Amino acid sequence: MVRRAKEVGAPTPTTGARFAPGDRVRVAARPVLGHCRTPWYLRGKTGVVAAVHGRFRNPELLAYHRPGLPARVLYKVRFRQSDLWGRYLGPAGDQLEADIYEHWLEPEVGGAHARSRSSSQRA
Amino acid sequence: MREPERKHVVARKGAGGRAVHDVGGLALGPIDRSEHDLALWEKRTDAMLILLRDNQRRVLTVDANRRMIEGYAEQDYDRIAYYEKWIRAIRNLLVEQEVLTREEIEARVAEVRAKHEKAGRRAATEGVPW
Repeated sequence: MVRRAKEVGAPTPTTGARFAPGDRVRVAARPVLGHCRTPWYLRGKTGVVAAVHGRFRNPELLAYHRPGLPARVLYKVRFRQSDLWGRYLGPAGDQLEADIYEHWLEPEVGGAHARSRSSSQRA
Repeated sequence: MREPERKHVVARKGAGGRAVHDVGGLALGPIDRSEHDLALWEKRTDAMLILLRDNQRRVLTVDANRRMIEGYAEQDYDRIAYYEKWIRAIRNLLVEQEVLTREEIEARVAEVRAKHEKAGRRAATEGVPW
């Protein structure tokens, strides 16, 4: 018997998203067993929500033939390159954007009023 | 410009959850950006993944394929080529999903190998590890 992987359709609306563009967030630094889309070099790092992409089935569960529910909100988070690398030699304004799921993000304590600048450079 | 260096370089092995593919920031040298023409087997591998994940079959997801690839040992992951990673993962997922058995796949591979040898064509003697 083939255990069918579930169909992955369009994302559902993002009502109830925990974060909004401009919110400062920290990527959880927890270890992982199994498939996960949050890169190691971003764990524990602080960035700013740049966009809310929508809700998507959770790849951490889809990878094991599970339905991937509940669907998780996916954000585009913007980081300063100098916050990620110890000796970053590029221009000071360089940024990096990564897609991170909501269950990997925590509100950055004390950073509630900090907002992202409107200008941005892609990494 | 030099490559950016992570504040604390951590080996993948035993690094508390850093998976084999998750090498961003590690000092692994420059990225080879050269392109090559795809061999027929590489195109077939690509097609197979697309067919196996379509809504009619849904045998696997890209996520499951990635999970399988991320489970390779470090030395295998670094050594084997892109589509070889794919075809090996597809094969293992076909067994995991009970579409084919390991014995069926190995018997068929032996059959194909014998056919090529008989025709005087060079056939790989080394099997792809499970």
